[in-house]
Amino acid sequence: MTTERARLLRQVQNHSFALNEAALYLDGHPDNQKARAYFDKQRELWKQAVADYEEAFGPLTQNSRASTASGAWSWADGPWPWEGEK
Amino acid sequence: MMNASTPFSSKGEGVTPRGTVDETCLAGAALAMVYSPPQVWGATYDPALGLERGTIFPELDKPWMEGDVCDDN
Repeated sequence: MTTERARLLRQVQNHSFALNEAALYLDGHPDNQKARAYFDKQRELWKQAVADYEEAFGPLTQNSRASTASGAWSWADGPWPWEGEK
Repeated sequence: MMNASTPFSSKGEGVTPRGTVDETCLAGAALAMVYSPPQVWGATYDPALGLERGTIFPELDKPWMEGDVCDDN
């Protein structure tokens, strides 16, 4: 995986993980405004990270807009997760 | 004989652990019950560090494993 692709993917993973953690906290403290603000912020950052990745390297998920953004079905075009560096 | 089966009775007279350092603080606390203080939202790690450490909460980043929390080598 190219370093740029790995970097962008890691960004998605970082914010995705932060979202999971904040959600776990919110499960137990649903009214905590600080936690909720954190969650909302990380969700924006996560959305942006996914958009950045997909713009450069194609869809991360099948139901992503990017899988059909070019008109054609592009889900199968990208390397499969287990395919290493070409 | 103290009633060991009362977990934490409303009148608080359940089982008082003997020999604890501060028996007043645990007065009425039943034995063999797990108590977990509620977590208060505080500072969080930067997301990149959080993923590495396996938690975004510094207070939950415990040194249980020699080295890192996710010591995969």
